[in-house]
Amino acid sequence: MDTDPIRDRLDRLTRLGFSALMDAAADGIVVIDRNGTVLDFNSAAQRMFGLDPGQIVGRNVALLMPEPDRSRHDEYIARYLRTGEARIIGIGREVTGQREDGATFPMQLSVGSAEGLFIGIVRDLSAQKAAEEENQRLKDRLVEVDRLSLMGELAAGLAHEINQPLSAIATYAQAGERIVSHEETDTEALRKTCRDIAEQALRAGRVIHNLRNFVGNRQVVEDEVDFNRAIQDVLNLVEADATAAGIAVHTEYAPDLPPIVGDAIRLQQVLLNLTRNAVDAMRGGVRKEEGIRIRTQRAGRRSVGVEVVDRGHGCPAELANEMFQPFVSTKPGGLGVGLAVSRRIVEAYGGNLYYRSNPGGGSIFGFSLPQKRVRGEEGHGTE
Amino acid sequence: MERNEPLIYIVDDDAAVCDSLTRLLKSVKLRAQAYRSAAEFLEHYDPEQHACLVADIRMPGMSGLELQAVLKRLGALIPLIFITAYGDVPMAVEAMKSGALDFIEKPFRDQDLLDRVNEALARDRQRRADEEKVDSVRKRLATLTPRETEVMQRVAEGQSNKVIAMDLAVSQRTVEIHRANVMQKMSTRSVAMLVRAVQSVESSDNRTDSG
Repeated sequence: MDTDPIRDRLDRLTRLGFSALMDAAADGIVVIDRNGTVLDFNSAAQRMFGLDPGQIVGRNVALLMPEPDRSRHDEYIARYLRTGEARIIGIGREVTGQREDGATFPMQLSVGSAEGLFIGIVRDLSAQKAAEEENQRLKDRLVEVDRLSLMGELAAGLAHEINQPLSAIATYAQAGERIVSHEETDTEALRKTCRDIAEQALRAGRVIHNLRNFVGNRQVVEDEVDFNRAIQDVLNLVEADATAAGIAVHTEYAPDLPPIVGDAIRLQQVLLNLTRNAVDAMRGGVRKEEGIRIRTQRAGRRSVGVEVVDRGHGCPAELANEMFQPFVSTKPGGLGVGLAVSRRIVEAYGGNLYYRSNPGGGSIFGFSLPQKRVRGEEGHGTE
Repeated sequence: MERNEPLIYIVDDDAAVCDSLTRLLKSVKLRAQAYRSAAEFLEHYDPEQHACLVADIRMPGMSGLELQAVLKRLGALIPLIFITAYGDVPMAVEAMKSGALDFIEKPFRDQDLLDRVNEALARDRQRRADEEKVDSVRKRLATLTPRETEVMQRVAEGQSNKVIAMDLAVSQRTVEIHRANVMQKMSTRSVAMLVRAVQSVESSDNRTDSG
């Protein structure tokens, strides 16, 4: 032979080294030429796509992808060769691969080119994607569980809250019956009794209406919301929770608050969360009789805020920053998602949820939201 | 006297419950006085008033159970009926153990409540009558001279005139005179009646001591 034995050996070593590298790689490696024909297909790729080299080497790489990429792949290569404009080469992106059995899976693809060849390195993302989805699902579930446990805790208080008007209705009706059976029926007393029955039935209805708003998922809503009104509407739920623990709720409404833009129900959920924390903090405490204060106020020049002031055990300084993180809780059995979810809701509407310690002992939690901008003001264009 | 006219105190933080109960009681010609908190009730409570108390267990501020404890500390013997919501039964049981007359779950049948109220008022009336009787015995006891008191105690214990005369170193005739005075002052016609009167005072004293 007239070939150079040293060069020949080097070539062979390079080939052996390359094929050893190919087979050792954890990622799939596919080598194609500029026609898209597969030249090499390592063992990781074989496992990933469920193909033997014999089934793919010499055939078009488009077989490894689903439509519409499958029909367009030749065009992708041609365009790159024509324009030099890289869509994947040297960049890498997430694409979809197709196995021998037709199943598709997400994969990370990066491509290098040299000497008229393209080397594709692919990593199967199915497991990672599944883990991410599972993670998200678990988080959603926890938030759901927290919401349900909130409902459960509220249920006891609500039973009381609905029982009051029911009880009054029953008693008024029975009194009415006795008024009628008197020899001289006092029609004015009877009329008033009927009015009171109707009033109490409506009151029970309002409790149920407010409760129903809390059940079921909400779409993002951007309504004009009167802060004071929104809080008044949720007050019976707040009181149901607090009264069950023997704690009074005092309210201070700042007059003439400008409206904000947001979702009253979401904001009520946040408020309820804060008051529930306050009730828990004061339960069994020595300053229980001082009750919880809810006050609305202007916060800065263009914001409206509400604060929930309790006289409970307060918050340890080292937790003051952490407690807004998910899964951080000071309550035994607490999931620690309430404040995290609340903060997310408030921030979604451009607001700010905060904590500071109550100088007299206890905690102050509050949030502020930007007031609705009026047409003609600076930075207009909210609508 | 107005104080002898029965009065039903109502304590419930819910305005509608207060109002409807008041109207129900009024429809059967019963007087009612409603208060929205335990503290407000305590401010107006008159221990001399013939009355019973209908109170909610769950209230902000002082709860029904706390009110019961305060009344007990004050030595107030007013019969107490609790009206409770569904979830409060364990609390109501505790209240019963502490001497509440009964508890009724909201919402309730008017007749159930009126029956309890009438029972409570009857108990209060009975207790006041018993107290009056004991008071009159006490007043009569106070009119006895020291020597008559000594004779009375021995008679009540069942000693004969002869034994009493020897014990006190007086004649039997003197014992007989003291004895006649005791029976007259105490307005009792037999030893048995005298024993009962003395016992009623003793058991009333014991109640006050232990309560």
